[in-house]
Amino acid sequence: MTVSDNLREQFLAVVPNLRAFAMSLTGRPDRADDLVQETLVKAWANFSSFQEGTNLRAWMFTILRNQFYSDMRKNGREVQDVDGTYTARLVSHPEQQGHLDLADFRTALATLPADQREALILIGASGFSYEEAAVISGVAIGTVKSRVSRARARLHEMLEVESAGDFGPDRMASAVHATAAKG
Amino acid sequence: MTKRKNPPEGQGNEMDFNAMSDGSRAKEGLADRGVGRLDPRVRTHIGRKIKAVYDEVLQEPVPDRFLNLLDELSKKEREAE
Repeated sequence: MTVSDNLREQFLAVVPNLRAFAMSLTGRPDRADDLVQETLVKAWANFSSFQEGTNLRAWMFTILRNQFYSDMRKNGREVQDVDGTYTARLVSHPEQQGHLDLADFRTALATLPADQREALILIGASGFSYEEAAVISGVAIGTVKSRVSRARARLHEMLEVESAGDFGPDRMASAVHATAAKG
Repeated sequence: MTKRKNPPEGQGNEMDFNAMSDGSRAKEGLADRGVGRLDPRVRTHIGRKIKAVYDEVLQEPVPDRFLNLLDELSKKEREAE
């Protein structure tokens, strides 16, 4: 296998992760895949600056993340979502009491400030350590930790409708078990 | 129930991508509003949903455009070698 074939395989293995991360940053499939495309081209061109033995996935996430914010600036788009717009809509739906499905949860995620959402995804979904997430986001470890906990707290607030009845101190455990059983 | 792949800080940072950092440090320094004390079971519940949203995309097959792109990049590389 040639060097370039090997590299192709390594990059290919990261693509699903890059797409999932890009989707959580952009919230739009078309933009997410454009971002992945830019990332692959850039990573390929700059592969000589990748240090062998370090985490390729983290390196590519860093490129994607920086590309995302640089595109944002270039296009003059707002990086952060407008606070509260979707939140208000979400909590005013009485029929959703007791259950928020994944689509609603996705919407709730999208209302988080971009930096909090990014931290939460890196830690809670991509499986990076706080140290790795800090490098990817270019901030201190403590900043990642505080963003993650603020993100969780905000989601919790948004899901309060759901959790108010289910997560009382006594019924907490059974509610969690019920959720786990549902899948 | 937090999983950590790596030992806690102080173990050295073998990745140094700081050259690519882009000024997000400016937003640092905001005091944590004391919200880090969520019930671990609530955290688990939220965590499971985040993972589900993420995994929906993760499990999709790689679109052809990326297979083609990587083919093209490695072809160019071979020709240059």
